[in-house]
Amino acid sequence: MRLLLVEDDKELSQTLQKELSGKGFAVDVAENGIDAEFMGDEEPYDMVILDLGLPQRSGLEVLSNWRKKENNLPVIILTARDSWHERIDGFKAGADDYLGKPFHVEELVMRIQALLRRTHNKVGGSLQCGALKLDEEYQQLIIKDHETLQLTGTEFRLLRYFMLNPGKVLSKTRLTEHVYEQDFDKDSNLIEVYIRRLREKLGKERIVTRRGQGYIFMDTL
Amino acid sequence: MNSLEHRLQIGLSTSLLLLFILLWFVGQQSMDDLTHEFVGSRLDHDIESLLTALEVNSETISLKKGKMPTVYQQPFSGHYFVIAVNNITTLHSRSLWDHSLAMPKLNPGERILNITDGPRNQKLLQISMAFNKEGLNISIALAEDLSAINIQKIKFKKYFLILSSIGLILLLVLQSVILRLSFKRLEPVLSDIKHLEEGELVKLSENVPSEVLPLVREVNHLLILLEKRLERSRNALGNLSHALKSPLNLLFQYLYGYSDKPDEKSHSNLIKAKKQVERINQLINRELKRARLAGKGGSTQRFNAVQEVPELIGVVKKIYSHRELIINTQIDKTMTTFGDREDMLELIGNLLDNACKWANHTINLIISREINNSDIVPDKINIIIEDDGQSIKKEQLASLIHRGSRLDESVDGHGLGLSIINDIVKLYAGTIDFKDSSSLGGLQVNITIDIK
Repeated sequence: MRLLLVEDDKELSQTLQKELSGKGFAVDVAENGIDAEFMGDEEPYDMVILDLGLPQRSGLEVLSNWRKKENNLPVIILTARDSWHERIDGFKAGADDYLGKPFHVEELVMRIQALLRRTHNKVGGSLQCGALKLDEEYQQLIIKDHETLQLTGTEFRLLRYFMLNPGKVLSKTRLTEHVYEQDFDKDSNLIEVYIRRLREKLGKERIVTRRGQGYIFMDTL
Repeated sequence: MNSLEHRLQIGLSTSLLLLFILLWFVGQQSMDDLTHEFVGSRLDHDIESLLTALEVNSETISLKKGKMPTVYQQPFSGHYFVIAVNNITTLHSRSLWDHSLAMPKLNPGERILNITDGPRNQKLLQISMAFNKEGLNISIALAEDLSAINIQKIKFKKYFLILSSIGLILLLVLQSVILRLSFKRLEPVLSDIKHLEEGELVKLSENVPSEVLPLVREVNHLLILLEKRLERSRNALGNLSHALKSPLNLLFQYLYGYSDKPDEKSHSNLIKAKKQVERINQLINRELKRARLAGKGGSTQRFNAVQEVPELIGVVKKIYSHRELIINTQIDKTMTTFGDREDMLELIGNLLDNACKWANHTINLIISREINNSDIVPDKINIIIEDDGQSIKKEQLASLIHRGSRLDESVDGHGLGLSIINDIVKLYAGTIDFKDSSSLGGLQVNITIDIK
């Protein structure tokens, strides 16, 4: 999952980036409104975490500009201005969730996960595909409710993206874009290596290769 | 009695009435004088012709035959004379029949004009004059009946009274219409002020009579000043909270992100530090939110419940989108706007937030005007919110009411929001009351606020 974190306080954005990476998210940071708007338009982010008090262009303006251009990427507003009329303004501008500062990182992660599931039309409190259940807290896979499988960071990110988009053809580029940060070398064949590893753990038939197109994660076998 | 319109009305009517009364008396008097002078001058001529017809023979006098007009021959014709020599009546007209005229004592050359009673209830204008003719002291009294003229005069007075009464009434009506029209120009100011109170206007219209224009301008000036001041302080508070919260957030992360196993002492210090940071956070939240409240009577944007509550519920539902909550609302559609918009959003937002935290599935929100014995109580708004969460024990209810009065008690879910709710209710001179919801089984919060 690739997130865009828009926050002008460098120290806060650095610690947040570290914490979120630890939770299996690829995080890019924008420090002002203009950069943020451009990046949100150009890169295929899965979600934006948007501070409202930004230099150069306010967060609300950035958000409503995206919505005007029908850029519907999910946005969580993160702000110190958390009175109810400001929340209404935020949601009217097109936010999907709103978190007041100061917050605990766990709370933010919970909301990111919930919003991700919501935007991928998954209901309930956890990510599940057939007999597979992804434990996002401990980054492990639970099979048929009793067997647990440990995952490495990248395996976890890749599997989560697959499980959020089951039955869809996912190209290698798309997978790379959503699993790694912006400056990652897109030509490397690391994705293939991780897909092979996942197949070893889940069984070959889970991830089907479409030659020249990409991969499909099978929801049910 | 403080109405300018009434004062002017009464003052102007009184002076108009006084003027008419004066006119009446002066008119009466001058009309009497005029008729008397007119009749009197005719009588003067008659005396002169009487005098020429008078013949003096040593001690006696007589009137030349045929020289006298016939009116003096017909009895009670209304024209009479009496002639006295040395104050002894010697001659009188035949028209007097067996009556006479009272002759005042006169010196030669004297002339008296007066009203006397004549025969058959006639009112006479009598002129009496004295002459010296051929050594004799002759006094002549000549009188004419005024009855015919008096009848005319009464007729005229009647018409005059009727006409002037009609004129007076017309003038009074006209005057009150003019006054009303002039004061009508002030009505837009009054309705503006009403709209201003309801928050539908932000300034008064300056299209008013020049007498009240300075007042209206001053009010507008003050309104702008007030609004700017509120806006400035609200912005400053927003900025302050924004500036404070990022560093606070970092502190949170440092403290909670501590993953190494520290020794006992620094571990307990860490816990203490966490507590203090939480405390600072709550203090900032509460005091800043409190400071941002506008209270009633401001000139800020009013809260339109019918329009804004659905928006607010949309927001709450998004925040709690991971739970399938049903929020039923019932809002009195006849309500006008009330309270400061931000205050009311904060109040109802916190109430809903609170209810969402504790509800299982359902929340009811009712906003209506206070009703007492089926009469609508003006300026009172009722807000009722109830949920189907766990019912609250009696002693917990009691502590809820006092919750928020002390900051460190407001840690759990009902905490900060409730203390803000309390602050807002206090600001609007309202009451808050908690009980078990009879229909849903959870907590029911009843709030009444005064919006005047």
